[in-house]
Amino acid sequence: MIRAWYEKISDHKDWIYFERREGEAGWSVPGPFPGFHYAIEFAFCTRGQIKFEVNGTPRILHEGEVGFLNSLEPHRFFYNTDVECYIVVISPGYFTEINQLGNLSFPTHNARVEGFEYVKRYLQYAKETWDGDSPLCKWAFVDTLAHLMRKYYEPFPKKGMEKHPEQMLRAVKYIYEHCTEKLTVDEVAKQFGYSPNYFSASFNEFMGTRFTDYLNTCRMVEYYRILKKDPTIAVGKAAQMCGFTSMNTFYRAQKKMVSAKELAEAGL
Amino acid sequence: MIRAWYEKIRDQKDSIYFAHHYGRFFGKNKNVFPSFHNSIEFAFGLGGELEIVISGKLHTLREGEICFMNTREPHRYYYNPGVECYIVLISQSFFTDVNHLGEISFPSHIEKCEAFDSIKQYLDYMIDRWDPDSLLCKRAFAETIAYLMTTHYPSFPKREMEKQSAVLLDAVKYICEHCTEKLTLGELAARFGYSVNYFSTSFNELMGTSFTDYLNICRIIEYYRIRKENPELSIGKVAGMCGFGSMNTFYRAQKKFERDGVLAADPAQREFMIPNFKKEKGK
Repeated sequence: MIRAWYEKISDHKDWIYFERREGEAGWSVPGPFPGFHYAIEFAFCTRGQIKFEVNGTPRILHEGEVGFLNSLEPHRFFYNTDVECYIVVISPGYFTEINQLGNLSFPTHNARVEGFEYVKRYLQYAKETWDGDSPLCKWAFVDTLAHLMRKYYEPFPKKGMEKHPEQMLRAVKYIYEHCTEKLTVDEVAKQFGYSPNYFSASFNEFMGTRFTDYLNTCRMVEYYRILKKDPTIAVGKAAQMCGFTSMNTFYRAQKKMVSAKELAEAGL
Repeated sequence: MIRAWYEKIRDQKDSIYFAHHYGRFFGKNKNVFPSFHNSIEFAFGLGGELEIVISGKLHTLREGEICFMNTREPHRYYYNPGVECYIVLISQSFFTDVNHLGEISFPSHIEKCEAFDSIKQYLDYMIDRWDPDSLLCKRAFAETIAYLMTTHYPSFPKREMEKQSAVLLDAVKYICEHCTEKLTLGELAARFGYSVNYFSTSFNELMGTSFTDYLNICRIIEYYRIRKENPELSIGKVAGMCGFGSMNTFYRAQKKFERDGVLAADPAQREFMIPNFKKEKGK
């Protein structure tokens, strides 16, 4: 079972997430699902231990180790209070022929190597001089990091995912992106070339939740996002903008999806 | 007078020069010809006093200061004992729409400020991990330098050069690039839209040396470069490849430049040297 939440924000053209996390406990993705995105992600553990889940498998990242999440790999981290780490998410807009980030992959779990100290020193420096509004700063960062990773770690050519999981993840992404429209199982199944029954069964198996529940979660997140932007908006109007056709469905969904608010606030 | 030597090697595609210079590096001689290239160049002062002449103006680079040489600005260094600096040359193939290196310029001489330590920290880090064979490494480096410099120092749009100087530099560049071919004063003057006499006079006046001497020294330097790459070739063959029409001209030129001290005394240095035309017009 691969339960996954599509993190749309990570795939924005100019998106780079570069943060040092320390002393704050909790999951990286609020709610019940791990997240996935087309962006690639590095986690550099500089102190303590980070629990992380990739493709449903739990792992532990120790000090000096590097975690790598490829495009479309569902994952989430659990931070303890004694953890210090750098998280870097690089959107596909930064993949070029020179840095090869679109074609190269690293192992999910990279053991400690001598070069880790150098990479860490660079990350410290880059954090001090970081300017997320400067495209040049972000390009310089991506290319330098790609260079250091290729120099000290062993990349290998990216392999395509198995077809079926990839199709399912695409469908999840599609639902997320079109949740405010009228959307039925039949339509989505047709869009991805499955029969409605087969798609519905696969979706349940794959995601551990029903299509309708997933769709409603997406809509609830959208609802909180709209509310955040415009706190004065009428509940009925906002619910309608998110694709809910009746207030009954809306209230039922709201009661059930307590995590939607957190997801919206986390910007996911 | 704009004396200038075109440094072809600096403008090779994908070339970035990044080195730590200290003590008496090479230019011992104050009379070495200034050189120019299309690449941009930075000198970061770390200690001692480095004298740099940029477009005829003398600057003394001290610890914490930066000198910037724009595209085609003739310049030369004089390394005093005890000098320590980083030199960075970025060729045109690294100028992009993201880093804007092709459109922006900095003052020739930049005073010391707080940001210098941050840039020095980066250069110290990269010099140990410098990998000139990796295009990615060089690209990342050019981007980071552009980012750090534009963040911390005021930049301004590049200005156009005076027309006559620009045309002359183009001619110099043309001579260096086509020296192995048959090249005459008449052809060159026509190419750049001057009469032969006017071109010849301007060239002499601005460069402090005659067209023929300039062309011959280009050929001799080419000769040493080819000899080094292909030691098995005969002297006559290589001289022919460099554009010398006869062996007499070749020997005469070689002897003349050796006698006048234009060529470096050490033959091993000759392939990438900057010639040393001492004689200045009117002296």
